[in-house]
Amino acid sequence: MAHVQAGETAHVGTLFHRHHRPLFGYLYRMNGHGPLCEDLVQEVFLRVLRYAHTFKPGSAFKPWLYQIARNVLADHWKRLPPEVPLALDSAAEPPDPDHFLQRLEADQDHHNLLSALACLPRDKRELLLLSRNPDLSYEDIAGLLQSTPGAIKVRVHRALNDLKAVFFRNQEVRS
Amino acid sequence: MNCEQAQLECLDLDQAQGLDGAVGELKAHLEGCAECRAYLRLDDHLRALPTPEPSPDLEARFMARLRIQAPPTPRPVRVSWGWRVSGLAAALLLLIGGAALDRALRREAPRAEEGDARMQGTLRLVHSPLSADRMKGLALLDAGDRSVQETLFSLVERDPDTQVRLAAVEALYLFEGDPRLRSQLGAALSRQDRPEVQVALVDLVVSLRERRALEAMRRLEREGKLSGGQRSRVQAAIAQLDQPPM
Repeated sequence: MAHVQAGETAHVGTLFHRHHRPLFGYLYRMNGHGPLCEDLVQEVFLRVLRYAHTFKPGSAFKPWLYQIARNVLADHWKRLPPEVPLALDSAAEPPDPDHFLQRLEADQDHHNLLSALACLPRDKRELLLLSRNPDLSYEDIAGLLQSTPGAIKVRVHRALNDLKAVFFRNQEVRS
Repeated sequence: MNCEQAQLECLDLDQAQGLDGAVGELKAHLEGCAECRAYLRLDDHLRALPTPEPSPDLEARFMARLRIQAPPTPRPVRVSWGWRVSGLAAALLLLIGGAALDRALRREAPRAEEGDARMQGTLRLVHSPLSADRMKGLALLDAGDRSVQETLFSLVERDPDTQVRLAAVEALYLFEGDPRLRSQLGAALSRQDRPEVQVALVDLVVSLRERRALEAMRRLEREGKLSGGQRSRVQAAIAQLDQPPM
């Protein structure tokens, strides 16, 4: 980033080379449309160049990058109709958790888990994806979402329980 | 311990160990609570989700867009005065230009000294006892000096601060065209003892498609010291390197 801040624009290419894959993964899981996400990834790195002067030397690059990615996503969603909130039935807990476990174990291709993830409201989906990104700590996410690590952990816990409920509900519908 | 407390504690468990990583009260709770075991298993699966891959030509498309949207800073263009000025003025300009050229040539030697001084300053920062200084030094490094590689590998292996080690791995990308970097990656990975840094080195190995490091990656994956997410990332990297080049 020091090179980019010094006006050496070619170094944005180096940053792109290193970071575009996990960033694409995050954006893809957030909206599920490959070609669109590729455009969004490019937009993120063009903003890295445009807003390079706002990066604090010595601070971690990845949280800053993901903050830009969140802004790009938010701008994209502003152009779409508002999201219809998902009605989560708190009573829809699995009656037999061991049965739930067996289904999860059998689900080798992750397909059903991804479907359940896609059913979650955006903010919960985002929280789960960010918190399970090995490059970001709870402290980093707290900085991104202007919260505290403890509060983030509680929100992750609630989102995981919602994911579990949706996963089980989808399984019931399928069977 | 109730389920809420148990599940919050589960979020801090090392996912590679799963249920076996739980101790004491949490372990006792998990053994008797299928609900919380399901919660932990779901989290484990979430961390192990494979990362989707973008199109192989995305990087090339971005580089083309970057060249259009952020062209290299243009050199200042001299305005042609030829048709306006008299022969005398043209001669004067040539004279001034010649003098400027002479000055520029004389300045080359001090510039080289300035470069050396800058590199010395950067290396002093890299060797500073303060983590913040070392991070700053790493951000200022460039690929001009090959001897820096040894310093970087030494930081990757021995620095007490994980963030500095990670920044040193990032700085190694500056030398991606240097075969000496490639030849040392496998050994660096084998000696590394911090999982975050191991994963960062694996990313570098994949980026360089350095297949000689595959054995070290396989050992790392087998050792079982990585978390679920880290292990699946290493597995994906091994699968990627195992594929024949297109």
